[in-house]
Parts: sequence; C-alpha cells; structure tokens
Amino acid sequence: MTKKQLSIFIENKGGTLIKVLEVLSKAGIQIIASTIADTKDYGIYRVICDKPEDAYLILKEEGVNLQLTDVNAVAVEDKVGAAADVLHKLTDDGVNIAYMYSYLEGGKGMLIYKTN
Amino acid sequence: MQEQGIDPRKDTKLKILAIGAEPHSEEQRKRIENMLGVKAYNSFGMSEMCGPGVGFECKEQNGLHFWEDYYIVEIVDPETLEPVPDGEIGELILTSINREAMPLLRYRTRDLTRVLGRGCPCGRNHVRLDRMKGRSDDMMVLRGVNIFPIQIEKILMQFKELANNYLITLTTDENNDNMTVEVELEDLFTDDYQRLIQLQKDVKRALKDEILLTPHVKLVPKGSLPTSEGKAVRVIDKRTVYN
Repeated sequence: MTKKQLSIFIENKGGTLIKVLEVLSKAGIQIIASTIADTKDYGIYRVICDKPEDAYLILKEEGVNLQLTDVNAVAVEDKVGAAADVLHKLTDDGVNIAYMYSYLEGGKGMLIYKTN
Repeated sequence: MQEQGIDPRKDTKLKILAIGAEPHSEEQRKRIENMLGVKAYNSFGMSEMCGPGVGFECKEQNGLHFWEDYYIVEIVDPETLEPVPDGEIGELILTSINREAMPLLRYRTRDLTRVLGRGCPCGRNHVRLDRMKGRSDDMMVLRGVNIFPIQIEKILMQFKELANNYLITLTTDENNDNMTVEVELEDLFTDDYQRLIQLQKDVKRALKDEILLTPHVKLVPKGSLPTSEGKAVRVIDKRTVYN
C-alpha cells in the first residue's frame, strides 16, 4: 500500500527540528515514525503521522519548506527474518530502494520505503 | 614554495614587489614582505586610465603618489559630488589630461580614499592618497575579479526551484578570499537528497560561468535569511581588506 509521508527541509541549525515538532504537537498531530540523516548543511526530516494532509497544511502555513511524498508501506510479521523476506521479493522484482525505515503497529512491523 | 621546501627569504633573490589590483590592509602588506623578504610597494590603477600605475608608493610607503601631470585628482562626497577637504574620505574622481582617443572627464571611480598629504620626504610633490578604503557602490573584488551582486542575482533567478532571497558572505581563510551564497528554496520540489545536491551543483556551475570564480552554495529554508525594511542587504564582507 502507499502512505503519505511528510518530507520536511530542515536547516542543520539549533532549534529547527524542535520548531517542527512543537508545531505538530500544538496542532494535535501524532508522529508515528520519523527519521533524519546526519548530513551537513540541511536534512530532510521524513515523518509518518496520523493526519498527514492536515500536518502538511499546518506546517506550510508556518512557512516550512515541505512536501507530501507518496511512499510504499508493507506490513510484515513481527518476527526475525521478516524484513529480509520482503526485501528478497522486492529485489527479485528488480525494485531499487532509495531509503527505508520501520515501526511497529498493532503487533505487525510496518516497512516504509521509497523506490528509485 | 613552502610545499616544495623553498624559503623565499634565503633561496630567491627577490627584492621588490609591486602590488595592486585588489584592496589589501597594511597587515597583509607586511605579511607579504616578511614571507618573501622583500619590500612591497602598493599601486593603484584602472583600465579606464592607463592600467596599473595611476598612483604608486614611494620608498616612504606612506600613501600613493598620483601622477598629477597625467591625471587631475578630486575627492568628493559620493552623495553630493562636492569636494571634501584634505584628510576626509570621499570618492576618487579622475580626469585624464594626456589621453588621446578616449579621454575621461571627471570619471567616478567609485573608490573611496582620502588625501594624506601634498609633500613627501622622497621629494615628490604629487598628491599622496591613502590606500583605498572601500567602494561607494556594491561592487566586490575577489581574487582579482570584479563582481557585482546583480550578476549573482541574475543567475539565481534562472532557477525556478529557488526563491528570491539570497545572501552573499565574503570571508578570508589563510590567503584566499571565499564567497558563500546562501539562497532560499522556493517550495521543496523533491524528497530526494541527490536532486538537491544536483541543484546545488548546477547553481554553483552557473555562478562560476558568470563570475569566474566558484562560490560555496548553500540551500536554506524559505524565510530563514534576514529581511530588511529598506534596501535588501545582499553582501556581508567579513574580510579585513580595507584596514
């Protein structure tokens, strides 16, 4: 299935990440999973939340640079080896993964990934 | 020379350096003199006059003698264009009196300087002007190249991914001048780091083609650069060239 992910442009400076989290918190948006890499001048903070379209509009109003990105989501059994099985299938199908992260939901593991 | 293990003070027979083209401070001149074991004499010139040598320091190294038999020198207030008294900083106006085909009358150099004196222990009575103190326009000189902020603006505007606000910061590290251009992103057009990096590279290359040197380019979020009420401040010069 696909999910809507917030891709937020964050300057590598103190206070920028906190500002985004505070805006979301004040708007009652719940973050389900998120990730940001250790890059130099800026990073893209990727967020799965409970109300992505609302979050997008609220952050845009605050003047934040962001995008609503379609990402793939696949639920797997919460057991050892489950992710490897999924990746085998994807690689066999010739799918190239750009980035990936995961979280647990309702006893299942959710793999979020974007393809090239 | 350092890398090759050469000590210019001992291993070369350099005695005198004539320097110019870019503003530099008294400290920088002394550093060059010490590093190379030479005497470095400042000069002033411009292609609109005769090239280098419109003015030159004598052995006193206390101001540039301007050749008044070739150029009429005026120092004026850059706003009113009225003359300022000796010793006060103003814009240098030059009139060439020996040039044929293209003489320039009361040409605004946009360089700021002041009269230091009209006599000299060296015996020359040509007016002595101070080293250049700055510009009355927004032109920058970096690594010998003249650059106007409008050139950078023109290039940035070609990229639809970029917004209108940008900031140029000039710094010196060791012996090189550096330019960093921070530019705000319009909307986030991609989720992909590679495409952002590619945009940065494309902007860098386009700027280099225009201004002849390669600046650092930083993408910043929209609204993160300072805004001003009046005229936008586009350049912050952190170098110490005008001292």
